[in-house]
Amino acid sequence: MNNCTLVIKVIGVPEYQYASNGNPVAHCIGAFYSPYSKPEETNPSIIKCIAWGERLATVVNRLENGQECIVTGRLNMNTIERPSGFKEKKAELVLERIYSLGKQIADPEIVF
Amino acid sequence: MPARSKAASKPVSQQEVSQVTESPPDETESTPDPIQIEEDVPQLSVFADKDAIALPVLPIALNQVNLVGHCGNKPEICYFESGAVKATVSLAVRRRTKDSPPDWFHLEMWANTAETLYNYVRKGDQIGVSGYLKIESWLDRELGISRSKPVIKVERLYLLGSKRNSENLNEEEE
Repeated sequence: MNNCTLVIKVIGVPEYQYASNGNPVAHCIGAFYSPYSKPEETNPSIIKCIAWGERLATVVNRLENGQECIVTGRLNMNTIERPSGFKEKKAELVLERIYSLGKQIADPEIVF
Repeated sequence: MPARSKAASKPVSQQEVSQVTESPPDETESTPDPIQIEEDVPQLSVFADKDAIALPVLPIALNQVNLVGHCGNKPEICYFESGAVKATVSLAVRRRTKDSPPDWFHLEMWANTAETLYNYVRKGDQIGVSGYLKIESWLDRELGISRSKPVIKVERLYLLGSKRNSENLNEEEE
């Protein structure tokens, strides 16, 4: 079992690409807070969100900078090698569902 | 008070009525002025509003992680001078696809949950955890760069391994 639910605020513009096998994939960067965070602690955590499949990738691609949404999915832990020579773990969220907060996602036909 | 009771029980003349009607203002002098109370109410509400404005507005922090996996090492425990207890362990969670390596999570828990983990969980045991994700970041002074590490802050721990397995492990350790 590997399940994660977050409220994220989209940072920047999402990217829509095609994987080597031809499947559409969209990436976006989201900022999220942890519960019990102190009021003076203003720095949110940053996570990369990935959406596979045409339907979900289209939705992610239509997210706007600053838009808030609830995302659920699976947490992947990737080990990357930094230029300084040490390895570092990066978390990424493979999306399964998206719920927009406040603002409607552009295409009204796509409803989750 | 006796003047009021008489007025209520006996039929009274006009003079007496005037006396009776004059008496209530004397009584009200001792009681608080109703107009003053009305003035106080909005003042209190003003103070309440000020407090509400002063409170910091926290962002929405919906952040929930549920994992089930196997421990990759023996849990490490740390007792602080303040009396706090912290335990950490690595958790391997299988991916859905076959033959792909598992995801390794760094779990962190405090207090009674930490002691339960340390006392009852060994390497290879299956556990379930519920908590939240935090990306801890700090500045590496040696390299002069910022580093980060995803940590699962565990709020609930579920011991999922069978009792027989844990007993066998204890016997092996002895």
